[in-house]
Amino acid sequence: MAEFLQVLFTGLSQGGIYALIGIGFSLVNMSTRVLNLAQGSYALLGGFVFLTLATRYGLPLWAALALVLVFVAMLGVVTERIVSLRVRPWRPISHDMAILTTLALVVVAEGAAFLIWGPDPQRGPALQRGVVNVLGAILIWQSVWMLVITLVIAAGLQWLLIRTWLGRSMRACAQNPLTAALLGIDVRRVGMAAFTLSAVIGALAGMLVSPITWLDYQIGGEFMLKGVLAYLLGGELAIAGPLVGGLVLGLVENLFLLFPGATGGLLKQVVPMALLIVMLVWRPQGLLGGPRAR
Amino acid sequence: MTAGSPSLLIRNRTWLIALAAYAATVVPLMTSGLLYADVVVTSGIFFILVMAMDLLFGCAGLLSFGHIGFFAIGAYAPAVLAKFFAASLLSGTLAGLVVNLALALTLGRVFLRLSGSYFMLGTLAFGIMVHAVIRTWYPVTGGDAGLGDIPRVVLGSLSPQVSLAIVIWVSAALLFWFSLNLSASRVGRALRAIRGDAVSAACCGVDVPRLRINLFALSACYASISGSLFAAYNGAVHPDSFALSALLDVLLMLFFGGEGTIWGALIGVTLLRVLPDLSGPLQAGKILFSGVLFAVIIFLFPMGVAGALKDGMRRLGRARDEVRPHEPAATAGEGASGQRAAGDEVFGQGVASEGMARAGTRRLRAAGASGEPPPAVIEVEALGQSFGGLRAVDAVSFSVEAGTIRSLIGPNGAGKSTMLNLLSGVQSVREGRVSGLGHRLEGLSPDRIARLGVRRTFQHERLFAHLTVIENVMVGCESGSDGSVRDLVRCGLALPSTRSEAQRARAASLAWLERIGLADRADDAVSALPHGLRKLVEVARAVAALPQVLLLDETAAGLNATEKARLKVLLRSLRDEGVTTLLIEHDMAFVMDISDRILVLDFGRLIAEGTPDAVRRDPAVLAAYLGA
Amino acid sequence: MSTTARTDRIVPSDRTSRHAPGSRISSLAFAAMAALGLCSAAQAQEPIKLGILLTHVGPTAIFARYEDKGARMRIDEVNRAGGIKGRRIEVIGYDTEGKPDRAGTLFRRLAQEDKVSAVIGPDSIYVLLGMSSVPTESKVFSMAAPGNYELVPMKDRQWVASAWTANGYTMVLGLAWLKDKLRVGRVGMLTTADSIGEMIGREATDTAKMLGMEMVQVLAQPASDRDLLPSLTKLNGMKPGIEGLVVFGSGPYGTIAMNQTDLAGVNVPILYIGGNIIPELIKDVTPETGKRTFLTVARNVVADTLPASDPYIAAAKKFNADYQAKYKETPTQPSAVGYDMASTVIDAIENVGSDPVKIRDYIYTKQKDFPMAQGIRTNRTPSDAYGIDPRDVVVASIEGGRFVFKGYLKDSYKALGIKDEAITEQMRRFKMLAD
Repeated sequence: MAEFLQVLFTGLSQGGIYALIGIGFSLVNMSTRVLNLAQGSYALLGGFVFLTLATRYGLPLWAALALVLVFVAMLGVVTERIVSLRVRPWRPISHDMAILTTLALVVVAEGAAFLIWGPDPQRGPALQRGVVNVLGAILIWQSVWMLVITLVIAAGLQWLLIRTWLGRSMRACAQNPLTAALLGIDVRRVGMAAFTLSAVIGALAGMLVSPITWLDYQIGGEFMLKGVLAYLLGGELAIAGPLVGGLVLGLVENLFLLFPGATGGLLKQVVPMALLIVMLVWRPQGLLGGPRAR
Repeated sequence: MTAGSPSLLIRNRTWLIALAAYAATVVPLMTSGLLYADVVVTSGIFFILVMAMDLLFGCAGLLSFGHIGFFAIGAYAPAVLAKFFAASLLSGTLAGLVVNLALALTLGRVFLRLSGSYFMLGTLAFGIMVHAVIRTWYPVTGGDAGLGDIPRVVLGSLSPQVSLAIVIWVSAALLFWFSLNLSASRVGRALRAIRGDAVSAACCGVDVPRLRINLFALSACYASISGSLFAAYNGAVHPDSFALSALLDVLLMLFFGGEGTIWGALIGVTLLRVLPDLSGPLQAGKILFSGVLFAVIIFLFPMGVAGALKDGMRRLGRARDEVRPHEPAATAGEGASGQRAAGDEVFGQGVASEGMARAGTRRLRAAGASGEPPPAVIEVEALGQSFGGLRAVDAVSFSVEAGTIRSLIGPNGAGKSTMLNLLSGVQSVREGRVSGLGHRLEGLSPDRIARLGVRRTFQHERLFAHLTVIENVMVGCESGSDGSVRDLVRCGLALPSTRSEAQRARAASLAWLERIGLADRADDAVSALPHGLRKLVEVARAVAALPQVLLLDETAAGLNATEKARLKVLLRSLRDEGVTTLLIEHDMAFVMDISDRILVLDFGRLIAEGTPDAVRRDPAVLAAYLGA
Repeated sequence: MSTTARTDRIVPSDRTSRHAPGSRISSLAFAAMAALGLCSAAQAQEPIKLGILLTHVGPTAIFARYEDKGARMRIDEVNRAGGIKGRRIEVIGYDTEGKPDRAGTLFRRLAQEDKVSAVIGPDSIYVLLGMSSVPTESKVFSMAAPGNYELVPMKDRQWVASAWTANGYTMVLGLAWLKDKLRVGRVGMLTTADSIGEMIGREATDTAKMLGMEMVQVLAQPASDRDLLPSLTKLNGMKPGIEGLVVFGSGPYGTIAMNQTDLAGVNVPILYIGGNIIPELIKDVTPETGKRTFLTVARNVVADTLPASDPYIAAAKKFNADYQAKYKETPTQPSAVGYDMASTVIDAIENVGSDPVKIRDYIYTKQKDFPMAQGIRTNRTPSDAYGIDPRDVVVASIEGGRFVFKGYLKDSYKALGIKDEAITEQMRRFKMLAD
């Protein structure tokens, strides 16, 4: 029982991070139809800058947090500008090129991180150190906070989408960007807001996760893959899709650890991709559905 | 230039450009000592892999991130077979091909169902999956420890390394030849057409899903061969060679060289193999450097080196043409340039004399053989279509007789375009029945309907923007491709039959362009034409295959008076040849003038049918139009 | 400064200096030539080229950083002393970028284009395994430093030797210390879910059996996992409880596995196996955990805490001091490995010249009892390109962020009465030795 609870919790807290990255994908994709592969890189850069400010320069956590968020928001804006630099009203964005550009940005971020922080893994300060014992399972406080903050962010974004002008504009762009533009929505601004928002969410994920998973310069790509998986599994409901996808992914891959001996650890590495491919065969629209397959 | 075999000439020139560009890349590298034996050999291996990606992306617009997976399987197959069955390299390579083919045909079907970006992500998942499997399935793949002891190739008395180098480059050259043929052929044009506009390509008779899946499989085979050669050359395989970073390298090669040219891959590969040596002092910044390079290429030179070269050549060619005194092309005869000045009426008739003779006799022969009064070529019975609660087409029945011009009119939103979509298979028929040319059409795919002899144009012109004017017409003329393996192989091997087919298609397309007065712009990009002319090209594309039924959706809209007159002449002459036309039009003068009979739709219902005069007086029609 | 002086620095006093004559002659000759003003002629002689092929990116990059410094330190020493018989050593260094095929390409480049006499590297086992046949096919010796030499195919070992003393297999043997000193009988193991992790698991199970211990369960989680509590709680739930824990994994995985034993309540001695043998990589190990963590290391790592009676202590201290003076940083195990890679090759060149084949032959047949900065002697043979007795390392634990000497592994084997043949037999079984 304790074993099962342990796996369950490990799965949920990891899944929460996948979900945060996936939500970033989802926001950008719904507003601009661009799959921003650099989503994981915000987590990488945000996390690294945060731990540098907090540990090397000894800034208080809130100040470091504020600086990081400003920095990452700028990164988001820059990404948006780069991706749509060659876009003109008469030449709409080429999605192949956009996705490749973001892929290039992943490598750029990786290279910059390698130059600045070197190849060694590092970890940042935790919100709360220590563990709590629940029915024999050991919960790391930081993981608990990670999951709680993920859920809070998801709820907040859901509110934003439904209740605010920006959210409604985003949803309008998701429906049909042309119509949205005709309705007087500044599609470019909405796109920029989406990029900024998703960059901030990515950075939060990076900061939350760094005390647990540690960060190294290559982790942006790993975050990206898991986020993409969460997003694809969940379906295209703006927030609920990647949230469910991420949690399911985290749970499923960790449940394999219940296998006796070393088998579980091996399966854990193959199962997420297999799961995705099976999903694409049986339910290409994802767990919660959405307009994906042609 | 003789009119003999333009495609052959194009092909030869491509070889020449490729070789010249390669030499220009290689010679300076060689003299600076950066290009050593190993780079030459390994660039042969990666050339095949990048060619595989270019066939898929450059031609069909499908960017696969999963080819590194096929490559890995191709590499591991000989290693695994050698370990467990002491199999030879050749049998290992064949086994890899079989596995990859099976995977590509099954998974490809899944991935190709996904739209653009999701195709990339799906294939990416596949590539990572393969990497994860070879890393973890260690009883078979050796996992992290990799596999050594891959059998070597020995040709005669040569050393294994030289033998392998020869095998690699001979394979690369053969596959290069095959790809170039394929790309220059009917199939290549069909693929580029798909890349431009899949729906429109299907309406030209291209079996889009089948062609794409077969191309995907072919491309996977390339990657597989490349992988097997890679394994043989390295003598060992390790999962780290097939990680995400390897995919980035391959993408960089593809875009650096220039996608869509096949030979660009050669240059991209060579440069990229050398690049890490060039950036030697940048040790720590190497990753950043390649990232920035990638971004810059995608960003500023999305066409790559090959694209820039080709562009330069084209510009050079154009400059030469301008210098040369303007002489009418020999093949055009009395055609375009001379006639155009003489006025449209004369022009139309004049051209009709030559290009049409063939087609006309064919129609007459067909009619004569049946020996019956003109039958109905299209019969529609109780056809319906709903979108949500909206009845776009509601229980419509009519029939169209062979060799007539029938117009379909009605206010906006009356369901006219939906009707055309249903007839051409673009939307599938759920209610009612449609038969045409003696076949039941409902449930047939657009390409089947097109190949039966029903062609169409679109309300908003949907030409293939990547292709030139004549290539657009040729896609129509060639009846696309059924996408079969046989078709791919025939075109790839450039069998004489396919070559003469291509020549005939070119000549016929040129004749059609003369008929619409665009012969002198045959080699221009379609995007360079004004809107009206583009619509005419679309008509030419539709009629080039000599269809029995022609469906036109507001073709006259946006044409100026002269162009409209030209269109009228064309449609009448087509009718005389036996083509049945169903057209949607808003320009009443045009409709009344040209139609034999008119159908009137309103709110999805057929409210009137008859001769122009009858329809003009019909009270229901007047009510609908005047908004009673 | 002569090269002889250099070798004396790192070898114990009882060494028979059979390398010295050649070196001494060469340095004397050099001195003579310099005196006669023939120095320019000597410098005009073609330099000897050595390749350095290390992995400067990825998780093992930190090792390459130290190995590179160590190797270049030895080469600098030789060059400053006037080179080998008047010929300077020229280094051609490349970065494998962590890609096996790239490493193969670069090795071929070193062999065919740069015409080096031998190659120092590759270091990463992953890189080496994807190209291990290249040295054989290009007939250039590769002085590698793989963490798991047993994985290198037999057919390639005639051209690829290992300079990494305390490698995975050697670290596994540390179980004897747990049994001998801490009376540990039942052990559990947490390893990485990949083929090397599985192999180390098998080796540990086998060793436990040899030592009369019980390996209760081997669990594996992917090397990318950072939450190892699922496995650790599972191990904690074993009935009866485990008395010792074997952990295999490098980088954060290893550190987290060690630290989370506290959280999971597995407060037993840990035998650590893996790459965290550099101060930077153990800085996050909590003090409580560090104290009960044991691992086998090369002597230079614990030079400060070695007993004064240790035969290698002077040499190890000397190396550490020189390194500290040159690079202003504390030397690590890979620093010494890098130094040893270079000195093994240089010793061969001093004795047989710069011909690649002769260098290889010398190292495999004539280079006996060769002293290494790691504080051990090598005796390579064609069937043993590893060339050391794996029990000849020391046991350390982690205290205050550094490694502290705890004892000699060989003593524990002696105390437990394990015969030499049993070890040789096991080394054959696990392919450390050729049959």
